[in-house]
Order: sequence, then C-alpha cells, then structure tokens
Amino acid sequence: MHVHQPTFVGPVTELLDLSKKNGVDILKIRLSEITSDYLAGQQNINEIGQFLVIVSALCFLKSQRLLFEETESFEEEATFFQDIEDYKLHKEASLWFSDKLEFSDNIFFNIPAVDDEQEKEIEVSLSNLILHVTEIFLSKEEKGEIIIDEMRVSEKIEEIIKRLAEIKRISFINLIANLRDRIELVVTFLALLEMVRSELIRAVQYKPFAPIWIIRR
Amino acid sequence: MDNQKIKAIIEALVFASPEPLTIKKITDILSERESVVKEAIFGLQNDLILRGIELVYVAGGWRLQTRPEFSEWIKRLKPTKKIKLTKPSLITLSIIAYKQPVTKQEVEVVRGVNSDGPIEHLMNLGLVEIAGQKKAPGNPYLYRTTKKFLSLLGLGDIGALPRIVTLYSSEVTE
Repeated sequence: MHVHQPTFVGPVTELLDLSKKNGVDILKIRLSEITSDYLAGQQNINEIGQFLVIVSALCFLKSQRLLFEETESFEEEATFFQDIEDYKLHKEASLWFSDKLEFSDNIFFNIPAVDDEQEKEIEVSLSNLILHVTEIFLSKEEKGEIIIDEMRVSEKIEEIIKRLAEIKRISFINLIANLRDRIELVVTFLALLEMVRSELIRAVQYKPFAPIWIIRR
Repeated sequence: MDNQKIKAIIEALVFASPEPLTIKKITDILSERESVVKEAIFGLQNDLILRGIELVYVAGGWRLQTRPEFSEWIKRLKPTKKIKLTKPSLITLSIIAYKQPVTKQEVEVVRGVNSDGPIEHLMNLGLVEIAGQKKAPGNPYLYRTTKKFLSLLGLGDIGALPRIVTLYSSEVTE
C-alpha cells in the first residue's frame, strides 16, 4: 500500500523502515490519514494482517517518540521490533518449508512402520487414563492466589467437540497441554470420561505405553 | 568380508528397513568398522547413479528412495497423499524448527496471535511433538520437530536447515 504524506510518499513498509532509522520524522506523519485512506480503498484480504502489523508498529514508534526523548534507549522498543523482524524472517522461511513439502510429494520410499501400527488401535483402559491424568495432576503445582473459577463439564465437552470437529483425532497430551490449573485439568478429565461413556469419543494407543489419542466417533 | 558383499548387504538392509538406518545400526549388524561401512555406503551411492532409486541421508540415517525425476510415473502407479499446510501452520512450523525446543507462548510472541490450532494440526500430522516441560512458572510444554519432519523434508538432521537470515536475504534481493 502506498502512503501520500507531506513528508513521505511511498510504500508503507518503506515508511516503517525509514522511521525506525530516523530517516523520516514519525511525528510529522499523520497515521489516522494512512488508516483512513486504507479503509477507504479496496482491501486485499491477504494483506490486511500485514498492514495491521506495520501500522501498529508505526503507532508504537510514534507513541515512543511522543513520550520520550529521542536519545533515550528503549529496550522495549528494541524487543518489539525484534519480534516483528523475527516474524518477517519466519514468514519468508515458511515459503522454503512450503516448497520442501511440495517437493516431498515427488519422492517415494518405504512407508514407516508407524503407519502400520496406526491401523492396530488399542483401546485405553480407564485405569491407564487415570494413571496418566494423576501424573499430570501432580506435575501441575498450584502456587499463589487461588481464583475460584466456575467451569462446567458440559462447556468443556462442547469445547472438545469443537476442537475435534475439524480434525478427527487429537493427542491426549496436546488436549491438556495448555490448561490453566488443576481445576481445569479435573474438569477436562471428567468431560473426557463422560464423552467416552456417551460414545462420542474413543481413547486409543497404537502400541503399549505409546501416547494416547482421542478420536471422535 | 569383501567390499562388494558389504555393499550388497547394506543395500538389502536399507531396503528392508521401515525407517532411515543409522550407521551405528549397520556397523552393529555387520560387525564391521564404521570407516568400512561408510566407504561401502559411498560406493553404493555411486553404483546407484544411473538407477531409478538413490541412497540418501535423512533423519539421522540412510534411506533408499525413488529419484524425484521419476515421480510422474510413480504417481500413475499409486495416488499420493500430499501434506498441504496453511500459512499460519507453515510459519508456526518454521518458528518451532528454528527455535526448538520452544514453548507455545514463545511461538505466540513471534506470531502475535494464539497458536493452539496450528500446533495441534502440526502434532496431528506428526511433524511436531512435545519435548518436555520448561522449568519456568507453570511448567509449560516444550515443542520440537519430529523425525518424520526430517524424513519428509529430506533433511539429515536439524542442523541441515538453511540459515534463516540467508533465506530472507535471498528473497529480498530477488
């Protein structure tokens, strides 16, 4: 997207680069005009995210310049821009991964044994499931303030159904990987038990002691 | 054992193995020195130059695979299941591959958005796995790429990934 300002005319990405290097005085750039122009024009769905990132970076930069003297060093600012640079690098690198995956379609080799094993599902027993949850329960230390959080098993069931709607299966460890605390773990476990009982899901392993997978029926 | 026989045995072993075969495994089976096995492997690679298959180093071991230039014919023989990832999943895969082991929160700092979905998808495809828990408040899970990831991308080990800055610079100069 192009920017037309009294002190700068050119792509918005260049404006950000120059502003970072003090090549353009960000205080003389009217950001509201840039966003208004953008909204008035025709937006490309693929570029909206990138535009938001750039404009928020410009906002951040301008607010820093307004609040502090230019000579001060801003650790926070450096981290912020490092994160943006990191994102740009990984966005470019993702193209390489995409090419590699595309190319992998042209190579054939012996199918790993894992695929054979996946056909042989072993139903996970209740005691095995409880053993897994107990281990995880004990590893989740409760520290600090205890917040009473009302969480319903039915809501958790809905959440799991939603997650399983797009993908057929999910690993048990992934399902509980980012739970906030022990209470949410217990609620999730009760939800899983209810779902197994109602025959909404199955809990399986592909070999003894292997990770547990939750599969929707 | 003469070199010709060692090459033939290695060829048979790699052919029969369901996963890339490590040098250590081959030396253990053959009871030969590592240098002898390595020499035989390079000889075998050379022997296969004009053939439809090749011997390559991927995911820490050796694998026999078809040459990419013959894929057109093989696809007529059997349909393929292509792994297609969305942009968010590809960026998440890149972050995990280069920063591993990494927590979900660290991935989210770079991406700026919640990454539950992409990580879950990558785990379901077997490209990413849990590597343990970080010794930090909340003991968050650490994620890393799998052997299947290396195998699929044809990489010997994670060190074979191109330097990320190089990738970016080449794109910029184009």
